Amino acid sequence: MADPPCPHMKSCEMYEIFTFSETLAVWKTRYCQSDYSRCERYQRALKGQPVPVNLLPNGHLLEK
Amino acid sequence: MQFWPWYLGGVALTTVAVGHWLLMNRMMAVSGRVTALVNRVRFGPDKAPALSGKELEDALLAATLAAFGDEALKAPPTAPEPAPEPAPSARPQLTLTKPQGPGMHALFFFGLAIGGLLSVLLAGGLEVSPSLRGARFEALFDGPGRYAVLLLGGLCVGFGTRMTGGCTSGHGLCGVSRFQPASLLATAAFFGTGIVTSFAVALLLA
Repeated sequence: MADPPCPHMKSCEMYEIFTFSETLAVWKTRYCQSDYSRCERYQRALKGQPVPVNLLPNGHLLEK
Repeated sequence: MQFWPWYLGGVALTTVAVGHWLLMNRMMAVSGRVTALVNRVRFGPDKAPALSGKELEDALLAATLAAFGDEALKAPPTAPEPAPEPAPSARPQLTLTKPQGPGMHALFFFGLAIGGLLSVLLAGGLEVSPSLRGARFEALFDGPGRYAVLLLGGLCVGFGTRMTGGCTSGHGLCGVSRFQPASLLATAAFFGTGIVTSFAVALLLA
């Protein structure tokens, strides 16, 4: 049976961006739809910490 | 003081919630704004850059390749047949919206207070009273006790709001209207608990 997806998917701004192209879909398959508990965004939200909009699931911050 | 008719309240709340979404492109959430202000004090200002379009695409591609290498360039095994690539002009613009600053939150709360003040002035005048407008409440609590009960009630509301990630505006108005399961559950919980508690208190104090 497949793992349940991340419960924060609908409200996650980054998840919406990952639906943009096939290349970005790897983030969904590796994090959002499987082992989401290791997602940095998910972990910070659980701790009640602010989640920067440019934070990727692996902890990398998108910069210009 | 006369309260406004309930149906006007409903129209006003709907106008504010829909208007907020149309003007700000985000859901109205009063407690979310409070949380943002508290987080700013606790963790400092948000340093995330506002990225959009090509610069966001480039940053995402570089980060994806750095994290997954060639795997990112292969279609996932369970993925459906890829749709034809849309023309560049038809592609939606990729954007990371920078969170609003403290000035916008302060402006919102200022408007909230002004709106409440206007409402009571139009309805017959401002009257500040540490009471729940109930004979039983006033008989049971007197003087500083009233303030203590109201303060305790406010703390409980704040605790519940933080625990469930939203308040009556975020969950009750915007979440329920979007059929969000968490909001439906949260609203059912806090309204249901409120109704049961008020009946229980009325029975106990009768």
